[in-house]
Amino acid sequence: MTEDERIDEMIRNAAQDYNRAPAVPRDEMWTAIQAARTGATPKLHVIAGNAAAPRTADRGRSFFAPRYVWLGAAAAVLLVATGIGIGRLTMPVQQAAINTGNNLQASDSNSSVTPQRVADDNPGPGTYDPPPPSVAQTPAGEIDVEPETSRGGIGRVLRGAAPSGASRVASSRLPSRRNAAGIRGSVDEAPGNDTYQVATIRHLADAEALLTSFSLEKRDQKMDAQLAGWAKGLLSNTRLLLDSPAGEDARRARLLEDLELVLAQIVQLSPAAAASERELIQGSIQNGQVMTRLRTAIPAGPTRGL
Amino acid sequence: MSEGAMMALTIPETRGWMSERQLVERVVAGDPVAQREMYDSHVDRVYRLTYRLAGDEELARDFTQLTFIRAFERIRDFRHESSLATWLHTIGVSISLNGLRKVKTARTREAPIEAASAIGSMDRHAEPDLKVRLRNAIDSLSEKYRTVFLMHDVEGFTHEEIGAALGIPAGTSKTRLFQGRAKLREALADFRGEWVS
Repeated sequence: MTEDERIDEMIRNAAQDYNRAPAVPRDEMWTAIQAARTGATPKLHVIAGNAAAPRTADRGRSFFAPRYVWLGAAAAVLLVATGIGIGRLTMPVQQAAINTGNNLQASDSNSSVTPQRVADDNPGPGTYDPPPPSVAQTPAGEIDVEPETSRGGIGRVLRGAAPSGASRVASSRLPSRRNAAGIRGSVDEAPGNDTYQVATIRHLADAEALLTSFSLEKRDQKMDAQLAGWAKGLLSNTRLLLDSPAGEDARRARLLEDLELVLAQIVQLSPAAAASERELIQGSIQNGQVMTRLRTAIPAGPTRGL
Repeated sequence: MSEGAMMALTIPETRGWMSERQLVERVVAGDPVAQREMYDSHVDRVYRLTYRLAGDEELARDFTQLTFIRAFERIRDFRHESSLATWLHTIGVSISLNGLRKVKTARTREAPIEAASAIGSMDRHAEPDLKVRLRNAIDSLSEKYRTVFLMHDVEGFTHEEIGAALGIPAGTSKTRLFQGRAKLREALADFRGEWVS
């Protein structure tokens, strides 16, 4: 048993007292269930269903609203940057300036990702799901991988354009695009879908390249450090995409979530890590079929230069 | 009605023999005995799980009650693609996590992780502080890591059961558990020397 495994076992034992339930109030709960099913008002001490949100959640909602403004601004910059990139690469320079402007105008008119629209994108009272405080506020006690820099083009543009603090907001998970039932809609329904599609495909291609490099048997510490840096940038971009309309497609969101976890493991891998730790990450990639799903999501044909 | 089902209804000792399919059929048919049987068979584990997630007795009761209310409403949709227990836990986890997001439960505790004083002592009297530190560390985990950690390491669910409940592959459950454990080890690094010795 490794040292970490011993510590995990001790933590597991100590955690048995964490929120240990008292005796189950079987009969009392059964009475309440029967009352609810027969139409009588159930004795629910705390409303935890589709009831109206309490006042504290309203304050929380207004507290979080400015974050959605920054997220919308960041997403708008992503849209602009990707559109400019596509235009410059596919058309002559003289034409690119004119056509990009026209494309952006058309995109803006169709896109819902504007600061004002994001702030107003509210499914309505009683169905709004504010993120848990520990995620949105990122308190000091939150332990998470928050890369300070990003090598990816998507992240660099966002950090260059967005105000300070927006990167931490953008890299946190916010449920702003779920409907009342918490079900993600299809990305095909989202305005500006093509732009996010292109950005996502490019990102997935980069991720595939990283994971392929990680899978190489012959690596040295220098290469591991480079891979970790590369993974850091991709991790940041993955989180941005998850919070963008690209993350609305359920299957794609699941892939991005699994990719996020694998990238986080690679980032945390120390240069002196044992081979067993690398094997654990390889196992995560294989168990989640991440490579297969990445390759399936990337269309055939050249993706570089997009 | 089959002879076995008739016996199950009229002879209390045979209720336990009722297969899950027969039980569900009787619940769908509106048999109150079968409904209570289904409730009694699963309420303990559902309540323990919701309590682990909520940490509050009233919330745990509400979540448990809502779980069974919804289960009885949707029992006709149950296709036996998983066990009845897994299906109930899926509902319970969904209700609990959605409910916790809506309700602002105070998760501040007495000892934040960063405020821990130098804990290098091998004194076993430091153990109560470990409980507090561990509680804070688990509370500070993000929802996806905390949920998997509690379901697997504390409540003993398999990764397949967790995957079914959360709608994720079992591999993702394993990865999240790996990450969650790593974060807890990091948060409790002060105690490493004491544990390893």
